[in-house]
Amino acid sequence: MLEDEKKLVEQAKQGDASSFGDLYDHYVQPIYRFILLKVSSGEEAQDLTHDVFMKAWRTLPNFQERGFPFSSWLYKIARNRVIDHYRTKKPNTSLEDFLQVESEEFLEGARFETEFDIKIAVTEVKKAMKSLTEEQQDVILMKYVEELEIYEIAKILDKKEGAVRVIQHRALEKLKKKFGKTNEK
Amino acid sequence: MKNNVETILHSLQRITPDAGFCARSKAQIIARSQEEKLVRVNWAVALFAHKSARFVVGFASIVLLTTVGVSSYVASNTRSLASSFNNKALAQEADLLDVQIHIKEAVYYDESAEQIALALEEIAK
Repeated sequence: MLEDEKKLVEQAKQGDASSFGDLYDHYVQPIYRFILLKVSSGEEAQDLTHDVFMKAWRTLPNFQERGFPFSSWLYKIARNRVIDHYRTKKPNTSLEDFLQVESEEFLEGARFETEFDIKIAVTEVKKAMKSLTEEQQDVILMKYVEELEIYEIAKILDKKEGAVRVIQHRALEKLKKKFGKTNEK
Repeated sequence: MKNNVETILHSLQRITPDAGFCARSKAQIIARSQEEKLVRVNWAVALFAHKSARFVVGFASIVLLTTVGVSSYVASNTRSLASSFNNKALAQEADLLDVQIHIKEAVYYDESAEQIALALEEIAK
């Protein structure tokens, strides 16, 4: 969590663009990453990330902090935006179809610190994620990539913490099997 | 294996968006104005929060109940009163009354004629 986050959020709620800028700088990376791993290309991830922060800025005056970090709210917006994206843009295309897109196209627009091994990791994760439900993907990405706490994930998904733990366990079991198969090949 | 999965997932943290995109996006966003703050009022709480509000709600409820009661009573009575002013029904009633009067008159004349005849016979004797 960002230092002085509450203060920044309060100031941004009053229309302080600079405070929102600080929040943007801090959260754009995890939100972009979360979206990138759920859509077919880096460009789409950029567009959706922009939409998420635009919505956050526009509706921030109505944001009510209820004991959860600001990031939970952002992830919730991001998740809904991705769902809308699939619903409106490609009504007859499933998430699985998107995940079939070649990794080169998928990675376009994204930047990696160590290009080679990350590209391999992304390709492996993409393949393995095909076996998971959308909810399981969300939990895995939030828990192991973004390292969110279970209570935060529960808040974002509107679920009980116990239910999130069950989803996480099942998803991890599936992934272990998938990665096992991939490594055997 | 679990560690392998987690390590691969963890390594994805190194994905970062393009710096140029971030700068452009942020500038566009903060150039826009925010939405007006919605005033969310919980009416149930607002209505019963103050003593005067409670009194107003209570009084208004009584007035409303009384008005509804009186108006429904008047409406039901007006219906029977209105039906009593129905011209056709009144004419029919009047006709029936007239016939009954005629019959009673006929019976009376019939009886009185008999009595007169008997009386005349008595006198003639």
